[in-house]
Amino acid sequence: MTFVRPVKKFARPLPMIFNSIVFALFLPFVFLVYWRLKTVPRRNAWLVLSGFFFYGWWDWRFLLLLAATALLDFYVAGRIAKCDTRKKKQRWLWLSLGGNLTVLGFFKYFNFFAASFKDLLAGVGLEADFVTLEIVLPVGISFYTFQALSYTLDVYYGKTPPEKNPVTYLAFISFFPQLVAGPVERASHMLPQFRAEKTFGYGFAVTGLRLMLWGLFKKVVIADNLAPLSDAVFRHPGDYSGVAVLAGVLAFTLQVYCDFSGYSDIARGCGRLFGFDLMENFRFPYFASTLREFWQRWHISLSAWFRDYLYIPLGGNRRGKPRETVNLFLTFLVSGMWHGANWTFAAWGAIHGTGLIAERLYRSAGLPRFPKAVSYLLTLFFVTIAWIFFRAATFRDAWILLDHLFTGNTPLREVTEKAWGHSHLPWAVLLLVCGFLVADYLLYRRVLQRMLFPHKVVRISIYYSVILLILLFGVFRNAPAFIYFQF
Amino acid sequence: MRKFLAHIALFLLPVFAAVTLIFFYPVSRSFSYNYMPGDCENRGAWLHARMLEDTTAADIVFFGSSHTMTGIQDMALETLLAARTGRTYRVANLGYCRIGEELPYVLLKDLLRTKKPQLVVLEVRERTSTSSQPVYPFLAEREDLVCPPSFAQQAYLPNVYNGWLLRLAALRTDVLGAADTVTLPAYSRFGYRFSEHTGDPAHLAQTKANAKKEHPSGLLRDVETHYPDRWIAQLEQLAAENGIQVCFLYLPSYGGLETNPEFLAARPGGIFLLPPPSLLDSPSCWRDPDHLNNKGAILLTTWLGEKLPVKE
Repeated sequence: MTFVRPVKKFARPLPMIFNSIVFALFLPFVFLVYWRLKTVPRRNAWLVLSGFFFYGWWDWRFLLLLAATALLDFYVAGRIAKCDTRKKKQRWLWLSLGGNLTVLGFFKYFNFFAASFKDLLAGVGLEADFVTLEIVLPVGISFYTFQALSYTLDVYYGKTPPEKNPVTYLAFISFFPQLVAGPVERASHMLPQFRAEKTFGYGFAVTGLRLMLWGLFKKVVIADNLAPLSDAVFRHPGDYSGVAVLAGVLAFTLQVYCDFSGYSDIARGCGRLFGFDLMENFRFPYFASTLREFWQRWHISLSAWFRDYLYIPLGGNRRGKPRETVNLFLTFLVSGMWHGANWTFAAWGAIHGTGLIAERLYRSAGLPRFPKAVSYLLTLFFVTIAWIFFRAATFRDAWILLDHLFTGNTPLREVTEKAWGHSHLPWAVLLLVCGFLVADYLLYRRVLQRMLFPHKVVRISIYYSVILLILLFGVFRNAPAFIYFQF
Repeated sequence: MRKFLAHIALFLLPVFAAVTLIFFYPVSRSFSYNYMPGDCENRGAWLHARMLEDTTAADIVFFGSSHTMTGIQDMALETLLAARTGRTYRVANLGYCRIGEELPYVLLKDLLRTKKPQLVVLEVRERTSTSSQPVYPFLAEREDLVCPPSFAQQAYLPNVYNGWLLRLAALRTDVLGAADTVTLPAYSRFGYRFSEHTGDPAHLAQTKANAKKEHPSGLLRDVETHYPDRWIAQLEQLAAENGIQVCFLYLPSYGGLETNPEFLAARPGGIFLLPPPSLLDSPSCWRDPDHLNNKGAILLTTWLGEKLPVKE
């Protein structure tokens, strides 16, 4: 039995991505029509249509799935609010949880668990022949499922009233800037915005464009130019060692940050064009001096989701230290699994969970604190090593890379030539990365915001400089997809 | 809102100017042929070498898709034509993977920079392909990209965009240093692609059974094929201006020879080379439903040796 992969005429290999010509045509059109419409219901209906067009651009058949899961939660939340007993509410909640997680589990994890179970049986000498299905992972399913679940959970907990208008609710779920890769928004934050009358805010829209420009720069200039180097190392882990592996791993560390935070910036900026304030998803995570701080700055929307809907319901830190440890570990294990159907993601989550537990134990034991600089470097080192498991295709590859990182020494030129051929591009990329790190630090310390942005000429010059860099160094042809599209 | 739009438009003016200027950046033919993304088996570099570097004449050139690449043994054809006519004809198989009617025109234009063929043989399939050749925007000149003979092609904007990307890549290469160029392992002026493999007879039989016997005609056909027809007309005009004869060789998939191409009705005055169905009826002549193998290529080439309209 096969779930046939979408044939060419139904599906495109990628969804409509932000750094594409088709999006550059789509966005202004949606924007202009949106602000021409005068009433909230019409604007929301237009956003639903746009969101469905945006999502259906990849494969229209999965629109049915998106609509079905959204309407299920809309209905369930309405029933939950009408229930007078907790038990009845719980039954409806389980329906929502069961429905959403079954769909997510099927599309994302069916083959993974079938193959893993088969390997497990083979490990004890038993042969099994499981059917595996050629299942297409619907783009964004992890994101919009979690967003929809947060709605029913918030209604269940009484944090937000149920939405009465299905169009408003669909607009919330299918809002195209954050539909396929987050931020995973909360109904309590977004639904009021979808209900509110809005007037066009010049300043707000300009900050949105600024965010989009910076996000585009991070994605097409930094992330996509680093991708060949990290790919060269991670695709052939046995071929390189020492500084070459380090370069590849560091390249991925920066690539994943710029790729994902770039997407989030574009999403937030896009939202601002329509008068929506999407939550900040990244807050300079690589400047964190502890793991705890890192997770307060990295993929904030998802971390908060797991904190509020998994860690706290499990008991959080309210049931003693041993239980807190287990809860923390489980939360990060599940968080790792959320990223993909591969044990390497679970390992990545487990590593972070273990690191956080160790950090808490160290703190609560009253042991001397490290100087801030050392703490910062240790955190960065830990996070970078953990990324190896995130990016590697298999455990074996990850271990090979770890081993080769500290043994041997392939000349750096070998891996840069593999990545970029014989050109001056490696130097250009190095300069760009250094420049970006300086700029990011200055943004982190709010130096740029205080000193440069208030001056119009300086501001405009910076914009043009960034655009020039995008034109000169942006990767447009065969650009890698946004990393988080695969989740 | 109006103020916002006006300011955005003003701000973007220099950006559009820069983007437009990039489109005028000069690109060498060598860069274009080496840069082509999705190039099959370094064929781009070979085409450049054969057409623009190799000084050997190309009296008879074959343009088409991979059907042509695997179906015409140019070296053998030279021998056959010499035996038949007593003259020396240099044959060049300039087929390229995938199909699209813009490419033969672009290639002929390039070929005419250094050589002047006497005869152009254009591959024809069961139905005229309406798709755009993927590498066309990387080889086309700016005016052909922006003002093609027909705009009835959904790939128009992507083609212009890809043409712009090519020029951007050329600019970056000049700034950052040359990217790796393709080194052909052992250059040969003959473009035939050899294959001994024989396809699965059952699969071939299935293809033959599924082959459509009827083609649309009239207005439906005209609408569907407006774009490729205009390009073929453009090629014919270029050929006529240079005193080059054009004929069409029917190279369908397995089983397709039993039906005339729809192109035949659309071009009543054209010179058609229609291999008889019995020539390539045996599954042993086919590598797969779309491509001849060596045995099939020999049969077809031998037949062409007798039928090509050349001076005797």
